[in-house]
Amino acid sequence: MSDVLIACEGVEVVYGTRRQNLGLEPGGVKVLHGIDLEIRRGESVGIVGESGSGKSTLGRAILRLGDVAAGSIRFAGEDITRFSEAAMRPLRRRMQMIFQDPMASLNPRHRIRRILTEPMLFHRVCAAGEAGARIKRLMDRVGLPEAALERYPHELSGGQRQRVGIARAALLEPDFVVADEIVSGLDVSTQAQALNLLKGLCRDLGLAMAFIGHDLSVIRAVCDRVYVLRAGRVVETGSCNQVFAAPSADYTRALIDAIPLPEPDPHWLARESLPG
Amino acid sequence: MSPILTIERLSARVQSRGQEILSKVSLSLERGEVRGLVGESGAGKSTIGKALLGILPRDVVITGGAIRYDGRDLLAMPARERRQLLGAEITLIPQDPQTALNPGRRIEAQLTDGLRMKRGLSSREAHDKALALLEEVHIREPQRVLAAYPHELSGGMRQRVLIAAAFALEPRLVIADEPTTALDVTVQKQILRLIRSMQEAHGTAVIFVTHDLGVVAQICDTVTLLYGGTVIEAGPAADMLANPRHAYTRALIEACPRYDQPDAGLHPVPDGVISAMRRDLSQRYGRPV
Repeated sequence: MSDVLIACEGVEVVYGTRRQNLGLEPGGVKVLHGIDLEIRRGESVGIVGESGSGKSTLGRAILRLGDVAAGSIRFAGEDITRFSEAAMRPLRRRMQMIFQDPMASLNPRHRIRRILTEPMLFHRVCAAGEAGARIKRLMDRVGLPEAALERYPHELSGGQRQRVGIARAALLEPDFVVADEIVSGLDVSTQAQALNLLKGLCRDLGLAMAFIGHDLSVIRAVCDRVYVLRAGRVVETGSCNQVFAAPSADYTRALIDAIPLPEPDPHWLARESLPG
Repeated sequence: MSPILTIERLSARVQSRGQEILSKVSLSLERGEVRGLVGESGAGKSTIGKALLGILPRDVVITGGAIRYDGRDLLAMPARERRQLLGAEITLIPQDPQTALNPGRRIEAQLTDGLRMKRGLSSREAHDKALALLEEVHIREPQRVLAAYPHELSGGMRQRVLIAAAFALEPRLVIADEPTTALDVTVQKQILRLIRSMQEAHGTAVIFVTHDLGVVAQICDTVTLLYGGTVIEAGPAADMLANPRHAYTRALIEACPRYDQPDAGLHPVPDGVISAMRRDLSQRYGRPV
């Protein structure tokens, strides 16, 4: 078995088209222009770019949550580019998503216990009788009090809600997870907790991860490799060590330099980041 | 020269829950100074900003202290007199450029309200002033932007418009309430640069509310760090970041991920530091927190 889990080749995504009998109708706006990307088992890969760069679209395309206009996506060696919903269903458990805004991705009318239990039963991860025990163990692991199970999402803090989102994905024992901007809007301390948790889970469960973000400091802390996207194209890729030490694209350099470090630099503000 | 703003032992409480959210917060601001008001969510930083602007939620009452602007107590002043200051001498750059503008009015109408009502400019004069302001915040095609509705502009453009609005009446104090959290890092940098250059050009004092110590390091002269509605540490930004005195300040710095030090950051604030601060707080508030 190859240790490449996700392999994208020439992936293009076009918005504003409708499905027809024989594929997609022509027209629309192309938002991904031939993306090549590879993620190995157990590897954490950062996908970084500004809003509109296509990073979230790419995350959704890999999970087949959006239609792919051209190119191919392979998951564990299988070409899933044209899989139907029904064909995707057995794979869904193995590829999970952690969303940016837990308030919008956790059902506000369900208690946390139900939010965590239902996907496990749907995917038949375990028998109904065993679900409770698994949830209890994981709640402990993600640092949530058991009492939180009886709460509704709005009764938890932002950091706690994000940990519920992480727990929900981890309970399905996936091979791969897409984490889309999951720490933007959290306090630094809460952010550190969530990122450490995610790193630990990836390590312990051998999870591969696509970590989508715009903050290169966070990507640096979490990921092994990084893809830098701009306007739907990969402008640079490599190991974090290499990309951060010697970025080859001006755009990457600009993204790095735009991050304010907690250390005064009298020249930082005046330094032009992106020419034009 | 006397400070433009002094906050003296300001305390506030949420009436319905009987819960104190600010306890004896003091700070002062010189003319032309940029002070970071920093803390995690719930620290009280936005409450202070809102108290300054007189836009506290109905349920929050000020239970003690004074806010002196240019020697006059804002809290003791007749409402009418205070309204003269707000929106003219003391203005706000809001957090979320998506919701701060009225979606149903053109930018020109929103940018000229204050100029016409508070400065008595004619529509013609207000139009010209608005145009000049948009140029000052580096908006290309200012004519087109004046005629646009908010939804036609990007987030960064809208934030520029709001900065132009905040500086329109030549205020002496601007409250910037996390003005860049909703923006991309590259746009954030442009906006920070813009706020700093406007502030320097006009000699305006700025209270910069943020939770990002990186932003503090690059834009603030001084910092007041809050936790649970109390001041933990205050001083010049460079000193505080280089030599934090309080364990919490140090912990917050160590929680920041840094691209230049991949193995440093990501240390959550230790439980011991939090529980020690909570013990102090319960003594102060006379109840468990």
